[in-house]
Amino acid sequence: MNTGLLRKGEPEFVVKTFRDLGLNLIAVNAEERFFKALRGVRDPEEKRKVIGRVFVEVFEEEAKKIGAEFLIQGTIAPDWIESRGGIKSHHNVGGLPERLNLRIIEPLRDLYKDEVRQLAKELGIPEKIYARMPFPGPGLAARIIGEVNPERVRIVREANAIVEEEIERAKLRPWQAFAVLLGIKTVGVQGDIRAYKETVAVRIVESTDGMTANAMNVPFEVLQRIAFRIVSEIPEVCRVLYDITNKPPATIEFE
Amino acid sequence: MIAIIENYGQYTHRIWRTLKEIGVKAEIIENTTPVGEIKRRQFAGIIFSGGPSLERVGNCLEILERYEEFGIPLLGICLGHQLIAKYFGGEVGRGKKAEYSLIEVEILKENDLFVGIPRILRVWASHMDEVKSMPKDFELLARRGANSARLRRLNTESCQFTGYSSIPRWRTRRKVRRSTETSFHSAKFSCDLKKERLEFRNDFV
Repeated sequence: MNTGLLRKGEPEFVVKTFRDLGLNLIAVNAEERFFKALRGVRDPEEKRKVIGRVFVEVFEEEAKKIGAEFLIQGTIAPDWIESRGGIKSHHNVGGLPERLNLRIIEPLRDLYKDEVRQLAKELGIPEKIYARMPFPGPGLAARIIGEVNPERVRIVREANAIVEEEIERAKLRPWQAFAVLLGIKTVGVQGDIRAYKETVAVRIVESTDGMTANAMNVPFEVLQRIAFRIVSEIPEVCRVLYDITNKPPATIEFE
Repeated sequence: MIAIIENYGQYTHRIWRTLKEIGVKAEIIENTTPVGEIKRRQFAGIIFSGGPSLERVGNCLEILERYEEFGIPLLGICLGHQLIAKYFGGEVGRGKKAEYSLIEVEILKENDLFVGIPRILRVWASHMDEVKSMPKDFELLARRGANSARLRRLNTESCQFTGYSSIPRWRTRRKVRRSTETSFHSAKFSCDLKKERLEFRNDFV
């Protein structure tokens, strides 16, 4: 399902990967539906719940068309632990509506991401799939503070792609590396002209299982290159910050 | 089989995972489970998990009241540690400042539980409350600062750090694995972290 909140090139990557594996994949474009449902929603928890609800609505519709009875989810331990603890509603747990016309199957429920990767490796799943960085269920919406709209998603998507590219170029292997649109404007000076533009935060963390994480000691040159590229290639941004907080106390994603 | 009593902590399930990794069978038990039922299961040891509030420890207090009757090792982690300290007459309250993130713990006294574990540990802490004064007859085994309290008495042990919440490198060595397991069974434990400034090393676990 393309929620409109996926990373750059991601819908194409996913579709190709599954079809190459010979699986009968149905790809649904639900971008407009998600953006419509998210209009005016600013609260992080409400955002997650809206996304969870639309997810299920679309799945239910598609399931009806093909007579599917089950919804198999990749829920892992941190999803239900953090949802139950009220830390955040992961879309596949706390974000799900109470009434659901599909039976849920969650074979990975008691595993953490590192264990899932071991399992995937054992099963012969390609590394390009199991080695991918974790990505939140609500997608880029969790990386936009405030309202989610196509314009803001475009900004954060470009910034995310730059962070990922530069991290790969530097041959670093963090747990996650991404950019967040903070939704605050700050003053800059660009080409002798005053700028008053968006601020982007970069978050790069190391972790074993996502339950704790430390901000990565990324070489300063790499951070500088990321900042340079973001402000040069995304005209709406004039400032880039690096998040140095660990989890706990902060979570990895901002929302 | 070890019982992990669920006090709604973020790391309860990770205690279970860590025990699984070192080959110790464990089961997470809701803290609302009647104590008689827990007793009937004849667990080899009980762990009180961490959690958000001493108001939500369910039947843990009843387990403490009957702990001699249980006659098995009891380990408290984080909130579990505070609970044990409080029950035996220690004082628990809000710290001068909260402690979140990676910190260092120094083991002051050898103990079965620390066999094969480095004297200085890097652990995750995530708490606002702390043990302000130790119960009588308890002994300090490890600490974070000069002013720490820590607990050990009879079969009751506890530690403040979100124990087992990080998976340190040393546990991957086979030799150490065995000794960790052994030490867990004897469950002689306890330590606390307090007040000192955070001392970060660059080599994050």
